Amino acid sequence: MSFHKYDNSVQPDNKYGHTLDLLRKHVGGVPEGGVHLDIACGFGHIAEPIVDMLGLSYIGVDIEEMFIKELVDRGHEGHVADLSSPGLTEEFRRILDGRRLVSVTFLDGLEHMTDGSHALRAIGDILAEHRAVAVTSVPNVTHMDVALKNLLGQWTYTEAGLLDVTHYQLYSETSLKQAFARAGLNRIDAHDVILGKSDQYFPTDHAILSEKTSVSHFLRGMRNTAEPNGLVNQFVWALGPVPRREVVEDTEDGPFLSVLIRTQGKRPQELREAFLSLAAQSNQDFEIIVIGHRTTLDQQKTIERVIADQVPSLQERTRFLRIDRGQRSTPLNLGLENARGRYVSIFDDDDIVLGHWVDEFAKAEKDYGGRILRAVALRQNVTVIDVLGADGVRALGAPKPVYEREFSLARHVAKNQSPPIGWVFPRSLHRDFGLTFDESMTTVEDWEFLLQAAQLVGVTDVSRVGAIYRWWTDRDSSRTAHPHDEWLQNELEVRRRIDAKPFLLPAGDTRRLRKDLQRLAELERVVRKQRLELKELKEKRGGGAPRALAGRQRPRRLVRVLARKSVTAARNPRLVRQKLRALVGRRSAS
Amino acid sequence: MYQEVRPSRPSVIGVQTLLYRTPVSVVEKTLDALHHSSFIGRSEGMCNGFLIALGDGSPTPCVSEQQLEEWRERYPHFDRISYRFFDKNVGTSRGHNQLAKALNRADYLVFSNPDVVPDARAIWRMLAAFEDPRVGMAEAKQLPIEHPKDYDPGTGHTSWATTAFAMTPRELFGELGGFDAKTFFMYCDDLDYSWRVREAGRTVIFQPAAVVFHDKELTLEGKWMPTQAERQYSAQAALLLAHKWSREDVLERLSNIYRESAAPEHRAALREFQRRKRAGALVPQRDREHAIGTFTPRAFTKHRFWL
Repeated sequence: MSFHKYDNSVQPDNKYGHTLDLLRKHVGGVPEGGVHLDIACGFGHIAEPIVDMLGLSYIGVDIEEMFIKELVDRGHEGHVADLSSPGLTEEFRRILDGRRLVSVTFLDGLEHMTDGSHALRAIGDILAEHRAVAVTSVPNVTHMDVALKNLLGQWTYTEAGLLDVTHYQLYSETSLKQAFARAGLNRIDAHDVILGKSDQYFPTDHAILSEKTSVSHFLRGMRNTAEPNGLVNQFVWALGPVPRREVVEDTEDGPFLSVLIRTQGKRPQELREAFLSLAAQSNQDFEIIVIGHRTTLDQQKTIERVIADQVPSLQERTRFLRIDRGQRSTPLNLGLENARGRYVSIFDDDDIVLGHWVDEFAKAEKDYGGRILRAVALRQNVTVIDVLGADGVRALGAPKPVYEREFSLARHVAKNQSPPIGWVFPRSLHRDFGLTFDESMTTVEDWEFLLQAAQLVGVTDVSRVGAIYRWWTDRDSSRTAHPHDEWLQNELEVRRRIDAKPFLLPAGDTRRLRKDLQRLAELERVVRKQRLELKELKEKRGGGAPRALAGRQRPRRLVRVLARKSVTAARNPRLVRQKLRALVGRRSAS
Repeated sequence: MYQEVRPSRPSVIGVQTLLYRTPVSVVEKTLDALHHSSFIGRSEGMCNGFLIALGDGSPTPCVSEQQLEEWRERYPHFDRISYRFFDKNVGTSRGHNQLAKALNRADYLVFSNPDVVPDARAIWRMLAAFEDPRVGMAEAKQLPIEHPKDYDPGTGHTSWATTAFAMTPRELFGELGGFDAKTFFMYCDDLDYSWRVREAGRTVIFQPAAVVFHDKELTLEGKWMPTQAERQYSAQAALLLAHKWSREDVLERLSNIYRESAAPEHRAALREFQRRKRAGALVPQRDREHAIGTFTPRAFTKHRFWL
């Protein structure tokens, strides 16, 4: 037996072991005279297990006569065939010669072919004819080790492995699925080979490969969110026959904006107002996806009626989806899956936008496309009243500028300052980076999303009022539907997640952070100075804390004295008071 | 499902709009919305006629004959679209009065700004308010910024209605002589009409369930940004309104404010008022008991908030 670079034995955790597992799982009863066709069989690594385990007759096919000769010498049937031939289906039929095909394997063959389409189509044809199952194995060129090094401009072919010098076609999960779809093959199961450290993990002291470095940690996190195959060394898939289809790429002919309106159908008048503010937009380059969440039939009809009341040109651009499971994020993710716009907006069914809302974002896209675009959102207190038997929304106060006008990611780490209606994000964040709204979050899902998204693409402020975020004073809203503790829990969870990973700040935020830290240091210096002055004051009086601070008026007087000494402190007497109490407390305890 | 408020019998609606250098695309957006409203009104038995009257006070026509023909084709649920080019800026009062004459088939008149986009149900919800025969005028709620004047949260009763989008019975409009075009060029003509409706023993209703979009520009602090023309004409109208509704105290206060104002448009407004007074061009005063007019230190009725 000759040596070959892929002459690996069948092991439970390698591609052969995984292949046999899949065959065991998907091959049903074996008919009399049933055969297994091993395409690009080499010298037939799995010939004996196939015969022993499945009770099938083994037929090997390869272009190399030498392999076939070895196979035949071992007592198996073997045929030499050109796997790139357009007439391969006929060749397979000739080899099978009327015998019943039960299963097919095509392991590590596709990537070695300059054009594997004929081989795949032939497999698709014979699987369909015999209702058989196939298992394929293909290396994953997008393995994390390859990707991370490639980012630094490093691409190293090797004698064998992921970047084998003899590979002609390189596959990701998506490109492999597309190749199969075009051939009439569909993945019905997978048992991929996972390798945390692939054969491309070299040199072993490479900083970007180490999981301990910040850059690697950040990039691995980003990649794992984008798609799940970073550690897949080989795709080992079971395939079944389906009609052939051309894969339609995600084209760029969608509108500028997809407006996702999640609703439970409980606020028809607010939804009507939301729709009206969209119908009146000066720029109509948007679609609307309404997602009814856990709606009853009546609520569904209510939503449908509001949609039917829209002008035909808006109805044509509106889709109504329904979903009966999940938390607040679930409908958003359904909307994301169905969105076609370059940008996406999260629009609650009680939000209102000004007439230039879409247009301002569309204009900003021209110079800042790809970034999150954020307008100024004002907050307005509102309530619902019944006038002559009809529900109406009543404003209780003027719209107020309660949110930070300029976006700072550093400050958003502490507190969300951006209601979703004030910003839109590129759909690429979902399509290409895999970002979704966390479905385990019952609140603050938008904050969690924004923190991730802003790190990746940055935020551009549009300095114009674009939206009114309505603040319900005496009725149910997400603010009141969830207990205070639940909000706190979710906020803590968001903070925990931020703290667990490297965090990427955009240009300019370090300046803001520095200013904030300098201000804090100045405050601490003032407090230290005042503490010393207080100590001196007490020593001068000689009576210690109890005498100096007897009575409730004393600390207030002291605050005034200290405040005169420091303008900064005067702006925050509460802080001084807290410091004083702490000081007095410590003194008393000692 | 929620119950829709509806008028009990069908009516003929006449919508009148004044154009002034208004782009066709803006007019079309309003017409699209009104057309859908007409379709819904007819299909649900609330409407047996829908008329559109456009008046144009621009220096050159905003709408061509060809455009008009195209609209008549495109909007089959309008019984008629009429267009009148005034050949000069006649102001809102005179313009609306003239358009109302062309809508003599209408049971109800709707005054609409040209850049308003109404919800399809707005007209029918306003119309439902007239089930009560005491109602003389109904106003829709504007979005995105609601008008801050106060109204009763149960009955909808309010001191006055803005004609950005308001409805009144055509017969009543005729009885009251329409808008006071002699006094008001633009601004406060709606206030004056509302008060005359109330003076005639009818009520003015604000219906927040009837919504229309009338865009506003706000500062980053959420404040309203009036134009210079808006400031001048509203200042002038305020003086004339105070005079007409017998509020010498308000007139004196406003005159003092405008006299001392740094804004030239305020001083111009005062000069125009004084010119009219000298020329004897002011209308006779009414409401000497102050039973109708509701002047407050900053507005013409109590406000819920200030922009």
